[in-house]
Amino acid sequence: MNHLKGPVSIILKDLKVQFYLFTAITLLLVIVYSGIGYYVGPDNFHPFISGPIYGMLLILPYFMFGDPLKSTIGLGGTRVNYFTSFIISSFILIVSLMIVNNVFFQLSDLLTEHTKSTTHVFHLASLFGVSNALSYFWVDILLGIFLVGIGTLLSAALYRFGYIWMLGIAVVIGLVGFIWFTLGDMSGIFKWTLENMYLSLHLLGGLGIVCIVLTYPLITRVTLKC
Amino acid sequence: MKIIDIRNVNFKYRDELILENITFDEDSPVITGLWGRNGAGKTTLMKLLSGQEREVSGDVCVLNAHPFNNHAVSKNISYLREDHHFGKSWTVKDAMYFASLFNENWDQEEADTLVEQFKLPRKKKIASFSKGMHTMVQLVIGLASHSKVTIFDEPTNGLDAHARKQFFQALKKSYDKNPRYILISSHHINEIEPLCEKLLIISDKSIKFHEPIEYFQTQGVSMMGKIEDIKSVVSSIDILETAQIMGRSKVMANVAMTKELKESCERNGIQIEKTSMQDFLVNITS
Repeated sequence: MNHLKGPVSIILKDLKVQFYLFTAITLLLVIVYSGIGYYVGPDNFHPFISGPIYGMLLILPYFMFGDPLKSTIGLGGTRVNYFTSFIISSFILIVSLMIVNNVFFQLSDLLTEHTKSTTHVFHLASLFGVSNALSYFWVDILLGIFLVGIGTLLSAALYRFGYIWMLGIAVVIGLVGFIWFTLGDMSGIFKWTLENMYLSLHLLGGLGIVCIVLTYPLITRVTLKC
Repeated sequence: MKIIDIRNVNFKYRDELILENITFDEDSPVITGLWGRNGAGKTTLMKLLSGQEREVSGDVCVLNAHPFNNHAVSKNISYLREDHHFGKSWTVKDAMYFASLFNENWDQEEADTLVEQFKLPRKKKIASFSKGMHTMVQLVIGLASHSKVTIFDEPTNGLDAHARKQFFQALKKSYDKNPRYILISSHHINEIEPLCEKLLIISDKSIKFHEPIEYFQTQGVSMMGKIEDIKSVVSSIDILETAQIMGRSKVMANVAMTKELKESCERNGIQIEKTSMQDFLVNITS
């Protein structure tokens, strides 16, 4: 593991900033929403605090194929070491941010319980029929893996093939999807997904892992962009 | 054990051939100068040696292994490129710490001494540095790494005369303490000549010369006189450049400055002098 210490340290230096930043943003959202619930007291007030964290996890890999990659290779790291370190660091970030997300969610719930606030923060886990805190955290972890996985594959493909190629691929996929959606019968898939929401969520997490695995051959031989 | 062993290497970027049939080797720790004109392929060669890029065909062997994606070799190679990339938020302290994690033979004491010597502010962000100070950070890393293969790309760019002198002294001291293979790429050959034991000349995508520095110190003369007299002492094939000055011919020839040649020129009324290494290299690669 010693050979990963360098790249992991470089990546974590960048991720630490993101962690503090998005913790602060989420805390700010909790304070603002709780304030609205306490002072204004709207009915059926179900704000969402996880948006910034989810969004960040999706776009984060794009930035990870810039500065930290170049710095690592420049100091003598290999692409394989960098990619492995990126996966380890991303997992650490997902777990850390989801702990923050769930602590703030529980904190907001506590505030609502013990004050006159009407805020009931919406958590995506409520869609999957789970109730305890650990399940809520697990749902977040699965979503985090899915978002980072998709983001990593897209960013790596962008880095490897460039914007023009990726735009072409996106158009073709979009066209096939559109034809399938309009001419094909998707009701079966929708029905199955709705009936098996929790299983579908795990499949999404699995898809995230598959995306990360698919990224490996894309990035380990990539030509560096100066 | 061969430090460098490169055989028939070709490298393409997209469809453009950048290096063609590169072959050279080195089996002892020496300071080698790398010289070539713009676009000759120097940077690509350095990237291949450091494992930052992979050849299209041929064999690249550094420290007995292929360096691409090979951590066991990479930790013994340092390549400090001209515009070396540091993280936007990195301070000098960060750069030294991260560099120490990547280099097996990192010498922290030497790094500290050099940081002091170059007067680099440890807590200041490198992104805010001038070109010269940015270069100094690279030089400290390159020297303190004590890597078995250390490659500097234009190491004196942006440095003032004093800092250049400091760098060359530090390099010599570090090399004397721990001899290793050091490759220095520079356009200013006169500057690195006193340090180098060998020169690697790259031109038109391939290696033209890989010779001890003494070869270049004796090779290349400038003669002035009648062209027919000059042609009687050197063959036409060795003439690199001819110019007319006040009815006389000035010729640069690819021959060694020997006692016999001097005597021969004297007998024929030809003025002869050794050309500068820079002029000679420019002409043999034209």
